[in-house]
Amino acid sequence: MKVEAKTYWLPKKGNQISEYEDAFYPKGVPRSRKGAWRFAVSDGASESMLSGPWAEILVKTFCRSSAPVTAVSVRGIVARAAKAYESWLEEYLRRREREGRPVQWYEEPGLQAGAYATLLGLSLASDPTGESLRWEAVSLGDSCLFQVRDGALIANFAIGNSREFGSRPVLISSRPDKNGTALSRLELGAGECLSGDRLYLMTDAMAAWFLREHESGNTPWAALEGSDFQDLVDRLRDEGLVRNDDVTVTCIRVV
Amino acid sequence: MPYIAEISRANPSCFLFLIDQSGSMRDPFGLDPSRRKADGVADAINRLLQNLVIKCAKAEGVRDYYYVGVLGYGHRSGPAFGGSLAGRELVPISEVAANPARVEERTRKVEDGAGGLVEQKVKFPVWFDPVANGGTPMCNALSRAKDIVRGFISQHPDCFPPIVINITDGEATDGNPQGPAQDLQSLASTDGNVLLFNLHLSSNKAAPIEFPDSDENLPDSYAKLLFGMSSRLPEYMRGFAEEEGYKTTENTRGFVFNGDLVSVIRFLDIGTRPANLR
Repeated sequence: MKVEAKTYWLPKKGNQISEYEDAFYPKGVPRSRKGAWRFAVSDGASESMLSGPWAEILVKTFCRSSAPVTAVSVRGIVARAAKAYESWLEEYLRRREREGRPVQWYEEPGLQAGAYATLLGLSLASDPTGESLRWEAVSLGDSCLFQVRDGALIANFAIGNSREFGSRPVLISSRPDKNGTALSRLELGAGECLSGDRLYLMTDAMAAWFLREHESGNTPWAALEGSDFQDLVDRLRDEGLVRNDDVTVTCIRVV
Repeated sequence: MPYIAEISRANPSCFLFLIDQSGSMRDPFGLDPSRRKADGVADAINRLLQNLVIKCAKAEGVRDYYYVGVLGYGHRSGPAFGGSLAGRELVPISEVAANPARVEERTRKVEDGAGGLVEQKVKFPVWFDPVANGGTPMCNALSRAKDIVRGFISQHPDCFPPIVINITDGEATDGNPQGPAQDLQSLASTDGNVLLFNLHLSSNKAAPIEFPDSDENLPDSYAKLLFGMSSRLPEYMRGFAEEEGYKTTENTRGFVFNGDLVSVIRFLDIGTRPANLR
């Protein structure tokens, strides 16, 4: 079986592309490693400092791991990501000094508090018969995975209802000492993928719309697949159906 | 449903602080008689500005989600920023961030992660030093606030409604401030009416009361007057207040007696705030 994927993303309306603080991986054509593929999206919290780089490190660290998706392996991934972020931050601060732009007083509290982001990681692996794929996923925070088969939503992970979205999710911090609650709430999911299935990974703004549409009896995946992404998001934002936030959707096709 | 407008650089909101600089502010502060009320006012406004700036700070810059003004009232009344901001009524928050009068270094105790506390040096920006001189023309200050806020709303008609925070000991000398307060609160953007919150720093030794829903337990007539002048917390702010541990009802007002109003900054919604960010 083969896996094709494409990610669509846009910054919050009114923001520069450089201010986009979601992250996704892989960036280009997905490549399998030993018959397995990995995908991840992350949503950096707008009210934390440097959450975009932290989200980027999280998705890369998840996708570069080849361990089965378990609570233990995810804890390891978060710990490795936090170390990688620490090194990145040291270099970032050195660069600021070198360039004559030292950290200002108003940045210090945010830097001390750490960066915060969601993580939705998906692993797809061939089963021994070669007739299906097994998906395993982890979710920390409110990014979502949806699975569509034959025009019907057959799995939504890890948020079950659109009313569960709020603006105060528990997220993963770049500071390991702040992660007790987040890690205790990590959700694991698994299922089977057949040829023709579609999987969608989304950060919360689009995911909330997707679930609401589904709850109203509509087929939001058709709108996603059948529209220009920018046009669709512009329209949904203008109509107040999608909150103005960074948006990221990875569309995966199993063939 | 009002009070849901997005606060962004394209659609900024406004904070206007009114600070009582009258002679009565020389009197001792009720809860700590070694300090004057004027010291409490300076501390409150500096901390409010500091927290508002930090709220709008991203790496490498402060985003202009707010325009900020500070009106002093006392012997002299009018725009109270000093230095390069002197004379200006409303200033983008990034300019407030860039122009404190000085940045002091203070120490605070923080958790060391191993169950203990360690001292940490933190930078504390100071925009205002204590001033205490003259009468308390609060009615006049509220009227000037109305003019400034009206001007802002005419330029930003769809903004999240401006928030006016009055920091005072409550003893107006130019009349009953209830009328001017109502006039100010009658202004509205398309998203709702202007919010007026009051921080009452009193010589009365009564314990702090934060965000009450009735004036029953307030210790004096000044406190009751300021409570009556304060706006009810909009529903979304009540949600944040509840998360911060305050009990609220429909009648909960933006009023604090002898306490800390800085929590109001945490009631502002400018984007995703992790529940575990402290």
